[in-house]
Amino acid sequence: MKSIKRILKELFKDPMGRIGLIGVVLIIMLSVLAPVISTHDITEMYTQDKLREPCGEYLFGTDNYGRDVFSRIIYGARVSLEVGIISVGIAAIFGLIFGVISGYFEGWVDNLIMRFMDILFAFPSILLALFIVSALGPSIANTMIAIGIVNTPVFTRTVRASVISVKSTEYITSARSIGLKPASIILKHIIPNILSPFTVQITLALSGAILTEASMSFLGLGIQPPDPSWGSMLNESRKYMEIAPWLAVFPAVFIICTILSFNILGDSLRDVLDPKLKL
Amino acid sequence: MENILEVKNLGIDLVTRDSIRRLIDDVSFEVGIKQSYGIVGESGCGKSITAMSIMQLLSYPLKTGKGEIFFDSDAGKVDLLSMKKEIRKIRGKEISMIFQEPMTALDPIFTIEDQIIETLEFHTNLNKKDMRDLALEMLNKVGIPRAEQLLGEYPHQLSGGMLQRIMIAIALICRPKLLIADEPTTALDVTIQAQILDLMNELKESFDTSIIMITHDLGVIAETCEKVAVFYAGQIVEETDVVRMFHGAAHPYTSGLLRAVTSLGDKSKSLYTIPGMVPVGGYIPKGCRFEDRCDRAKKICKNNPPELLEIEEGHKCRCWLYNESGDEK
Amino acid sequence: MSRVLLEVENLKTYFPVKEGVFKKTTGYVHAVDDVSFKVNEQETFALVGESGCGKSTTGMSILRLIEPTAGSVLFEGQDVLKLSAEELRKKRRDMQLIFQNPYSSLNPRMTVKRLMEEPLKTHFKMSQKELDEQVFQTADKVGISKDQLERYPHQFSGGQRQRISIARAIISRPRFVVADEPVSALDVSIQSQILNLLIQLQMDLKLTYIFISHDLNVVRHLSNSVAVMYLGRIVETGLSEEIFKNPMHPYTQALLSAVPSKDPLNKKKRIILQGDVPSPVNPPEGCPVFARCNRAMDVCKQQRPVLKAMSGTHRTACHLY
Repeated sequence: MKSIKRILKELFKDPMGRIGLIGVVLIIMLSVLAPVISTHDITEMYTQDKLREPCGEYLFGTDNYGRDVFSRIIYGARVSLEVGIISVGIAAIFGLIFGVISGYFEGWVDNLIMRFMDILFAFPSILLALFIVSALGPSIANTMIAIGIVNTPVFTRTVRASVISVKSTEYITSARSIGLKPASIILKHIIPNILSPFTVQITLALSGAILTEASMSFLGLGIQPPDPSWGSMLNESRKYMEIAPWLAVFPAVFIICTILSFNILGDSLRDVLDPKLKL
Repeated sequence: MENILEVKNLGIDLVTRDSIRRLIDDVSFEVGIKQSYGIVGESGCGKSITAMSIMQLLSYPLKTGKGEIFFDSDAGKVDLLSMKKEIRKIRGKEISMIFQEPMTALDPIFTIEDQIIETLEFHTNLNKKDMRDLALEMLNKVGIPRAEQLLGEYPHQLSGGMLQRIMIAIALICRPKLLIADEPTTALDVTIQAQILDLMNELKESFDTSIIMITHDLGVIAETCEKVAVFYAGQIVEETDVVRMFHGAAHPYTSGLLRAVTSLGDKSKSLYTIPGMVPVGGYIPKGCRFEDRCDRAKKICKNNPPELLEIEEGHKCRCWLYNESGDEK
Repeated sequence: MSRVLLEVENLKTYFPVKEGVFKKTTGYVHAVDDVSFKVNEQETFALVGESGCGKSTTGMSILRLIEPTAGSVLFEGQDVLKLSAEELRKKRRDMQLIFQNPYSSLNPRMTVKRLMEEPLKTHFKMSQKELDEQVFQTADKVGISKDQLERYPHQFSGGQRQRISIARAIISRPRFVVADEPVSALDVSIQSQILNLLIQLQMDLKLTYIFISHDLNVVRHLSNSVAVMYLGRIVETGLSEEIFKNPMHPYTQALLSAVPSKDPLNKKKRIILQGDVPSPVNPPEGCPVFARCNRAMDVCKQQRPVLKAMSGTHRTACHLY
């Protein structure tokens, strides 16, 4: 396995990788440093300053309640990342477990797991997520669980496919011929060798999860007010689109940049991690 | 021009983002009309990329860095390396090539007939029926039974030996002056290899084609070639006719290889081995490239690269042992 | 006469051929079809034949890396095919495998040291100090230097990788090793180094080999006994000298004559086998070589010949005799 330092170095060499990396680091810094960077309290309503245009006092203007859009966007980054990381974490862990079992043991276990995943796959993801949330009740935790479940099939499939291809390599036969137990074969030989596609999948799923959260919040079934979320901010901005376009523009720009950064990073990471593409 | 092909001071480079490395250096040889010329060497010695460069088939990051390759084409003597689009008229018509993996050299989504006709369409102006007749005739010549039926089949329906015969048929259908065969039998079984080698020897006679046979197998050289060049680490180290190569090899690498091969099968003796390994990772020694593995290396070999010199008529060798100016040092 | 270490009896390995949407079994690939032979202790038994003849499958079936369909494999009198999964796992210490392709048989994410420690950790309880000692010793034996042990497989050349893969096979001190085309992927000048190493190790460690190869020169060099396989069956077997000096079966004769000569002044008269190997799915009724044989008779088409003793241990399956 390449050291993390080398991966970062190679990512940085690739111009696209550099853009993705910088974008992602910026978003992480925004959310970590939110309390320091934000200029106003995010729930405080400055009633005298409703729908103010961007200015020195309110960098991104204020919304219809007179809340500072800049600060809410910054805290929104925090919410987005939190939801993204935790929900992708849920999906990745379950996907890894199911995928490895499915790919390694094959037979009826594989059939059972994969048919169930197919059923999950058959729903449009946003619909499934909405369905789960409306069943569990809207809250941050339930949004994360819903997005996690929705993303599990993709991880299961990626992991299963990689396990099957690694399993047919000679070094796995070699491990068997030496007399290793199945558990050691999985832990020592298979999992380390599927980490590359797995990591790439995580980065790509992160952007997907952030987008799903934004869409759900936009539809009113994701993050609930007064917690700031880019999606719900976009939703609230609709009514004031004509008189206060900045309410829509800033959350939209942040959503686009975040998704783009993660996608670019994921693509570039795939090139760096896949040694077959390298000379 | 009495030779069909003359390669002069060919150099091939590996171009990467921040460096240029010369892989093939100072390679010159001539292939006579109707001659079968063997190029033998181990993997990574540059024999295949040399062959690819003749047809300008190198792709990034490989690039010909210097030299000329003269070919006696229908339009007179031409330098293949300086040709632009016109080379397409030569590829497949005047020079053709067969590869190691017949399985991957044919396009899986087209029938055998489509693939043969494709070449003919580009290089001739025959009508459909004549093309088909010619295709059938060629398939018969390369010893394919039930040729008629086979024309409609797809590559995956056929065995490796069969596909290699088809590759040969496609390569020879325009009656090229030169056929480049890059390890044509390496992927095949020994009984199939025997069939293909016999076929190639036979066709060479009936088609008056010159052949460049690239292989790592000294047995294939002995069976098919008249003249041989031995490659080592991107250079020709010895060039001579095939009998002298097997019975009077001069270069320590050539004789080492031969000893390793001929001691096989003789159980009484332990197997002769050349110690060490081919220089890897682009590291090129300052002096003779074989110096660190050579059992007859002298002081001079370490820091001074030897030149390819004619040590007797028709026998060239790149070694300080045969260079008088090296004796004094 | 040395002791028999391994006895293979009527080994059969069939693979179902599945077709259609419902994966219906429409036939069987007879990869190994009723193969029997004995391997003496500290000797090399070679399986030769062309690709698809079942030689590798035979090797893998003996080690149960592929589950055979029927037959028995007696290792010191104990039937390997009857062992439970856990017993088999422990037995693997004694029976090892060397692969053809040193590029794909080593886990690219493990250092050479970890690769070599793995068999020891699996079968013995050793302290790190003992492990290190064993690894150093074995590395030295196969010609890998101490300072290369922390490297990864891709940093080595083909020949060195094959040394690593040999080290991995012998470090648990097995008695029996299946070497599946161990030099086929290597260059000529490296082949001889590895062959010499295998011979040296056999003497030092008292190993018994099954050596699988398509290269008759290599087989001739290091085998005591040979079995020539065709379409999943043994067509001729015997001591190496007998087979190479006096091949009886027309297929063996053709195979030997097909090997390119190493002397341009003395080209061999070849017996050319016509056509290709028939499909091993539902193979022909009679002699498997029938369609390609230059001495085929009527009886060959209907009746399958059995192995008959010619002289001593030399046996061949052909209606000519």
